[in-house]
Amino acid sequence: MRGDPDPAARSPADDGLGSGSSPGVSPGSLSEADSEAADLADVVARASGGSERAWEDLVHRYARRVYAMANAKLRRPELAEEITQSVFVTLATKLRSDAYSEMGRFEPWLFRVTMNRVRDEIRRAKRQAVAHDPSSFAGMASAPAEPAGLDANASAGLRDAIATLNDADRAVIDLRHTGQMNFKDIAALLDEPLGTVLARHHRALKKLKAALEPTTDASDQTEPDEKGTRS
Amino acid sequence: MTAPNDRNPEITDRSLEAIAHRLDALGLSEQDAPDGLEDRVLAALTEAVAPAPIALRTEAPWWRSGAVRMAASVVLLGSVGATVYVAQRGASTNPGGSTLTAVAAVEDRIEGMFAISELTDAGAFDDSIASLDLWVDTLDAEATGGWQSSGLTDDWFGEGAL
Repeated sequence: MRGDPDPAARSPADDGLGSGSSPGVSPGSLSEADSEAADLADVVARASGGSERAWEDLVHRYARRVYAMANAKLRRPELAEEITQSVFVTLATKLRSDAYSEMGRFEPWLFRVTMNRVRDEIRRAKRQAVAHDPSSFAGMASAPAEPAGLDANASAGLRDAIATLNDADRAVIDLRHTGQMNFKDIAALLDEPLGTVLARHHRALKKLKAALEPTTDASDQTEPDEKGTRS
Repeated sequence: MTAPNDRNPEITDRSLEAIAHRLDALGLSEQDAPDGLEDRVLAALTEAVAPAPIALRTEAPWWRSGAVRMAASVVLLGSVGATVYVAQRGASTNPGGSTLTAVAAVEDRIEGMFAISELTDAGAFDDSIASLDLWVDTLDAEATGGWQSSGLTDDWFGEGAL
């Protein structure tokens, strides 16, 4: 929320906007981000040392976000959960074998692993669909849960609009709004400058707006007809 | 849940903000996983990173490696060859007088050969001796106790067979 004097008082939904007009980040937010980063680094270090409590912490912080990233792409809850489990097993294996070299960039690493796993699964499903039945891949999708505050049509329209984005724009949208990553981490994950990521996010929102507008216009035009105010 | 605490300064349009709000709501709805997701992930982790069982077979000691055995064989053959050569040369240059010396040299070489053999192949040798002892014991048992006391009868005339 713009002008909110206490960044910590913002709700997660407000924090997740990524759309505020305030260009600067307040010092309070910076120190909060720093303390969060330090806390995360400590948890990761303890997890790599085998601390069960640290693993519980990591799983509770990230399991649902990883699941959301997978489910948003695959639309198969059971497969999304399987991927979530395998992602964490990969993390544990890497951390225990001292193969983890992403100090200070845990989130980008975590979501890169997630994206790779999801990509592998999509490729595998496409191969199977081609080999057996071209229509089977489309039929995999299960009915998605409707988000609070969005009716079924609105969420379906939004999903359709997201599907029209190119891969690069969609990656930013997914990582930002589904993975709830900050822009700095997204830039690190995609290995692109922060400015490029911000510009891409802005452009993607404009594309979504353009894709959603015809629906909005149509509903605006339909409403008067139903009321009989237009001939 | 760690929420992003930064903002995109390029977003100044309220309509874009509204779309971002909707995307956030959609993203949160994707997190609506079946109950117990975290527990199942932790269970998978526990299973995956559990310590491996103690290895039943350890690596063979260095002195039982193939390279060392081959080197010992070369040394052995060289020693035998040298012994024979020295013995023949001694016999031809000083017949009779050096026979005892040559024999002593041969004895020394043979003792050396056994020493090397024990050093290089002690494990295999011990295993062979142990197997041989076991086989001899089995034969003794069969010879002294007859067929019924031997293990063979258990196999061939087990319970219920007769």
